Amino acid sequence: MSDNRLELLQGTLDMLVLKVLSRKELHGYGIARRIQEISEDILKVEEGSLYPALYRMEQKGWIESSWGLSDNNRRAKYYHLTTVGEKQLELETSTWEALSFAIARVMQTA
Amino acid sequence: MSWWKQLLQGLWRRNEIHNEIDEELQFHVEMRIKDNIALGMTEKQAKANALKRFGNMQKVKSNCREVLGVEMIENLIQDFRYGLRMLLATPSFTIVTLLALALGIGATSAIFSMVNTVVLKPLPFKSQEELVLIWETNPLSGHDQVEVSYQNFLDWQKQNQVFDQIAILPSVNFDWTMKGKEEPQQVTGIFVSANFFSLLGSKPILGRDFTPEDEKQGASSVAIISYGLWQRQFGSDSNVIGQKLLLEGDSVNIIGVMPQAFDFPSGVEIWVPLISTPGDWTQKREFRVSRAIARIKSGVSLANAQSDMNRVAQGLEQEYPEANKGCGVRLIPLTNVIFGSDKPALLAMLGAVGLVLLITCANVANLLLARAGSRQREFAIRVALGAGQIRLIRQLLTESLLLALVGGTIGLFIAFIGIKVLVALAPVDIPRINDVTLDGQVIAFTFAISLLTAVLFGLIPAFQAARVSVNEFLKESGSRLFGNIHANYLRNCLVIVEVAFAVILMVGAGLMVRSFNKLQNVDAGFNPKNVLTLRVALNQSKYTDKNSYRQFFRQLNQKVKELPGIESSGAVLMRPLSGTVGWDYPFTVQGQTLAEHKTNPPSNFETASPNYFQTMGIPILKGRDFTDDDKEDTAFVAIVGESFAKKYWPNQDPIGKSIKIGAPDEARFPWMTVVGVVKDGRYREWEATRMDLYMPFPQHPQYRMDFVLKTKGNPLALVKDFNNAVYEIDKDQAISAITTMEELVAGTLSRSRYNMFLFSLFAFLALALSMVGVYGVLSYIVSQRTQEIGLRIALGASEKDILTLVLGQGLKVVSIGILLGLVVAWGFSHLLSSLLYQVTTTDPITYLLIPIGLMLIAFIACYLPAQRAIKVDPLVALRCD
Repeated sequence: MSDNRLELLQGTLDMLVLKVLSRKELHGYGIARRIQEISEDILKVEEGSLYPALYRMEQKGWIESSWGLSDNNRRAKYYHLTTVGEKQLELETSTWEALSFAIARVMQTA
Repeated sequence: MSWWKQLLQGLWRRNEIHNEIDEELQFHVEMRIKDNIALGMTEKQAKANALKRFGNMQKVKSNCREVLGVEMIENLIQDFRYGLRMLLATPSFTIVTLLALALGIGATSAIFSMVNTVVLKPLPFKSQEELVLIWETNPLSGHDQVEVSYQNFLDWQKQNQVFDQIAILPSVNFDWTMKGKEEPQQVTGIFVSANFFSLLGSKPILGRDFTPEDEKQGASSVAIISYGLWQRQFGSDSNVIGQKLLLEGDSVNIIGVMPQAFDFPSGVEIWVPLISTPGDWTQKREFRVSRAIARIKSGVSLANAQSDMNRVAQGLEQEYPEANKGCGVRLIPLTNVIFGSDKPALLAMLGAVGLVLLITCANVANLLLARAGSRQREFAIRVALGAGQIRLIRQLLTESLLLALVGGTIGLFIAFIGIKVLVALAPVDIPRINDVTLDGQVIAFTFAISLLTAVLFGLIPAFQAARVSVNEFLKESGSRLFGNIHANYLRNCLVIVEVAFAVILMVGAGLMVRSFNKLQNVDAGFNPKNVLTLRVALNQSKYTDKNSYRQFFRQLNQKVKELPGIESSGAVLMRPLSGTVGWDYPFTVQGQTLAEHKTNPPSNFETASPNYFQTMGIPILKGRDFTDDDKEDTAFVAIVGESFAKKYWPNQDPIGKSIKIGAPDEARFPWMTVVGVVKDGRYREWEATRMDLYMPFPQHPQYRMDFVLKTKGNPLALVKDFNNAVYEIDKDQAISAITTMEELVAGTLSRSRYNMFLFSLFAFLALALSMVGVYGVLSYIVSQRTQEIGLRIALGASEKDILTLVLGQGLKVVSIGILLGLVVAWGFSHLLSSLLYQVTTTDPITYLLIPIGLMLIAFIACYLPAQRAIKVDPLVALRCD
């Protein structure tokens, strides 16, 4: 089936999640929806890999979770960025920028 | 957090974690549904889409849990549940396997514990391997166990180079009259040199050990008592030290109490220092009434110690030719002496139980393999559904572990009860039998073995299944896969081995049964029915000379004769079946030279009262019994046993011939005229007779006599009357060793009976287990070949043909096993020879009956599956799989 949305690598997913959470607190679905929205539907988040990733990041201390009420008064688990997570985001962002710059150069000149 | 913390969390908060993940994912799905509907999908579509986006929801949840680290426990619990379900789904398999495991583990643990405590556990001595018992020897007269001379002992101490210490004690234990605060009683006691306990490395738990001061002449009388005596007489009172006892009329001071485990010599309850005074028996070198123990210096071998002592003995022989002519020395490891008689039996028991364990393992392996064979389909499907190899293996492992653990636990129960039963039924004189408990090491060992078996054989199918090509398997019907050739071969081999082991055990048991039978039927030479027997050992400080002995026993004999309820009564020095103790006197037959006298075996010396033979039912073959007219002032007479007469007067009438105690020229022993010949008695061992020599007790009075009373009714009812008769003569005289001859006989046979019982138990177990194995294999083969059988029936095979086919298969395997077992049994049964009486280890009857019996039972075991084969409906069999 034709699906133009691109799959996300795990490491990249982590970075995107951190970025999205840097703006505000969201629950799992919210994170997926936000990424999809901002990328104008190009980036598809595998539900199957999202939640394991969230749990992993929580284990590493980059994010923290707490149960709260959603807009429609349902219980949902909200995630927010920690200070460690902020640092991690910085780190990953700079790595990513360096990487994409290098790749762009190669694609241009090679 | 660390993995084990996660594990615990997983256990504790399992439900909580599950629910949270569920809730979170559920929320996500619902939100997605909402959005989908907003996008225009129907509710159904929305739902389907939402779920599809998750893919395998279970897997996602599993991944989440994995991240949290609680997945491991999840899997474990799942495997556990699944395994349990599978086991419960096939109850017959499960029960049989559990039973096999439990019996195997239980029996092995019980016996092993017993052997461990009785034989293998160290004695309460320090470095027991360094301890030896020392006897003298006299090769000239063919004796390799001669009592030790005190004077020789002293010289050994000075001249040897290989011992740390030597101690000396009498060769027999004494029955002493002891009086505390209550009635006088008999207690078993012994003299020992002061270094006795320190040599052995065992100390009193209360008070002190002997010191060299205690064995000096003129030292105040002291004694050390046993734990048992302390409990019984003194109620474990810690103030017992310093209390006094009257021992044989002498006052002794209790200075120490030995620990509970100390029991050497066996049965002794009071130890007194051996004091040597000038003029007493210790000064005469030729007086041999002792034994010695020694501790070999560390680093010196037994052989070296023996040769050094040989050197010393030779030197003494030259120095004291009169007393030591031809005398050598023999060193025996003490552990051999204490355990010697029981070791072979118990080791045989170990061997037997080892075989049972092996059979159990083979059985369990077989059962697991069979089951695995029938589960290949299940595995293939699971592999097709995505189960990883590792998962499969892990799950099978859990199943096997479950089996092993449950089976093992039941086995523990069986072992616990088994030990109680074994100890209750055991002869009471097996040393330390009452200390036997379940041994932790033993349990661990047997558990480990069964675990290993279960795991090993439970895993084989997993590895097989992992390699099976799923497609190929699902296409064809299950029974086309004949298990693979290898598995069948393996299982057949296992059954052959099981049957072989069972045969070996059954042969062993059969031999022991025959042996015991022969033992029971031994003609004892006397009639033990309704015969009460008791011992009177006179207090030797009160009765100081032969006259006083004579007088006492004469009086007692007279009184006992007149007791009501007596058919006849008599007395003898040492009654039959007294064990290894006895009075060995050298003798001379008239006409023998000194040289010939020295080649005579020792006589079993007895003094007897008139009517002794009649009371015991010992037939008088020639001549007459003693009478009251055979007194101290009439002619010296003697009665000899049948073997004695046959050996020395083979073609003559023994009546009227002369014999004497001691060497031909020993003046203090007069010549005696033989007046009677009686049947041989069994005074020492049940299995053999000796040269019996009786003298009338007035002519050779001793300080002790065993009385025998033939009663009309229950023998034990007369004990009180006898006691009163004794008290009427001397109110301070105690009686001891009260029992009936029938009990003595039973006791003598008790070891053999016990061995036979145990072996038969094992043989039975082995038989049962191996037959279960045969049945199991054959059942499996039948179920696997149902199609083939159906085909045959459809093609016209008769019931007989099918029966022959199946039975043939089964019996073929059994026959090979029987043959193998017989061959091995034939080769190794000589190991049992020390336990058998008058039965050769290649006893043809046993070797014939066992295979026949086993074949019959195997036939039954094979018949059941064969019956099932007949009932196969060809239509059903050929249609489905």
